[in-house]
Amino acid sequence: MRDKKRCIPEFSFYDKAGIRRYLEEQAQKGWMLEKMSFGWVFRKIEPGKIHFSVTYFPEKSVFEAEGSERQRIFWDFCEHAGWKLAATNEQMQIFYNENPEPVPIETDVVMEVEKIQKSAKKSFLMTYVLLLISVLLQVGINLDRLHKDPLGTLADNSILFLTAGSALLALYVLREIIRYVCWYQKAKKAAETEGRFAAAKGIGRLWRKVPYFAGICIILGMVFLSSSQILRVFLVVLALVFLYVVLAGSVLSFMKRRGGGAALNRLTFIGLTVLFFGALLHVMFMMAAKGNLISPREPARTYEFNGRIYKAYQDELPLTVGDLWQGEYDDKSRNFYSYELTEKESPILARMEAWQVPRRDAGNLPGMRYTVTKIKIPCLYDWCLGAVKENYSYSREYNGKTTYFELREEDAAFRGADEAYRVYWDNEAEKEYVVCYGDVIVEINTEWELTEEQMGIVGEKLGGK
Amino acid sequence: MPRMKFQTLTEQMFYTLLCLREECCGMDILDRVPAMTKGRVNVGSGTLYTLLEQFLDMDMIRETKVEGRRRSYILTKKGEEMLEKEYERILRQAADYRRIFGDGFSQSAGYGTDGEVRK
Repeated sequence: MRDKKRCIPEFSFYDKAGIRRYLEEQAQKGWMLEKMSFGWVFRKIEPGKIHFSVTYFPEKSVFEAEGSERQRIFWDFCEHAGWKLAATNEQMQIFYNENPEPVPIETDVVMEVEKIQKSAKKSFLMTYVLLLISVLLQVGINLDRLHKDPLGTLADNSILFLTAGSALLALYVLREIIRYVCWYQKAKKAAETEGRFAAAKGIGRLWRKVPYFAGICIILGMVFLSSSQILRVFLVVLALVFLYVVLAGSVLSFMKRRGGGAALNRLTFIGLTVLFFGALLHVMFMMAAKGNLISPREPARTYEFNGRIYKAYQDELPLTVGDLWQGEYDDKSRNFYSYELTEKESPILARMEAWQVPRRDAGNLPGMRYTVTKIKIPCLYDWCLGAVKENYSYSREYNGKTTYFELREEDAAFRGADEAYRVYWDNEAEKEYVVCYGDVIVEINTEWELTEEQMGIVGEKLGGK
Repeated sequence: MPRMKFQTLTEQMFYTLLCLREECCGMDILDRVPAMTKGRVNVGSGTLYTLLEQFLDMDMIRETKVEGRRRSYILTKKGEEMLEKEYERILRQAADYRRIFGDGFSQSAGYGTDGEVRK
């Protein structure tokens, strides 16, 4: 039979009553709290009625070893009153007492509430505010991406999951901060006016699961990232941050063991942090400057032209220049082109971007590029089309002259199309179209004027008509 | 109404300072307060730790002896004045009470003028 067990606490930092009740129930079942780090560790004991008290020691600094002189004086006082130390975690100190009616450790509620506030500021609030800032930053960056490239972002599973995970975490942390501030105001008032301690409410059964959901979303986001080049950077940064946490934690615990003062330990810790992140930023900057940070996709082949090396891809495209010119630039001439295809698919959108670009050594050949977006959620169709249209409606200032890009509806001969638009630049028609086929939006740009027959082929090949 | 710090003393502050009329350490206070009040007032160990720190900061008590982690304290002049002020406040309150109710209520409730329970 196991004599130890570990569990992850699901209590707010200041939920004294909730924690006390839980520990008393555990003692009744024969488990005594022994340690609070990476979950709570319990050891087997004889089941019985034991009183617990959750107190806070605000003087405790994270840079100071557990059991400083002042802390030990406090523990001595508690022991004198029959309260034995069960476990500590920074400012939180948990005691137990086997006497049937012990004198509580805190007998002045005003003082008790203030101790919680001072401790919260030093640990829980500081950590949560920093966490909130970092996750909101992540959400903000992704919302900005959504604003700039709505369809590309909605088709990217990694962004969707990472944003959902970050947003859930931000919501949870924000709720906890607000809950704490509200509790503190209420508890302060109750202590000062009624002389009673206002117990905190529990986190709530559903809310307790939110960090787990957020964690799953973030892990899924990272799994989907594996198809992208960014994964390399992401994993390198993650590994380095992990290395930093381990290194800084080890150095700090070594310094605490050596009995260094809080001020010296804090200074060393800050110095180490600045050094580490300074070196990290320097290395990443150097790698980015040399182009080693994000290496582009490996090409199918490389070729030399005018003393320079160029890359060419050989991806299978759903529509090629050869398809449109019916043999004139068919597959036999594949070596004259670079065919590049990127595909992204999420539960909301599937998006494919294709480029057929003539090689530099191939002479004067026509090229084209196109994007095919399939909207899987019908109610989002109008919004997506609006985003595409907006992408083609802008003005540009050049040499004091403003030029306008716009989309105009055309009665073009794209087979099976519901709607077709053509891009105009200063009232001049461009060789670029936006064509809608059911739930599919095609954006196509050719280097020649499409014939009616070619428009029909585009409809067949990309619109599925 | 929030209590201004040490403008008035709580019972726990009052009895802690009273104990420190003569030199004693924290653990002595934990025992003496309930003994002095026949168990009516208890000072929690966490509350006492904080009170002693605050009294020291306010120069109401001073440290007299350090034996390992056992520290002894005694009331300072300022602490005595605070205690006296509180005592006078309590007396004024008691006088006001007697003026309104006379001695009848406290005696019928079993309390003497010295606060002692009469059996």
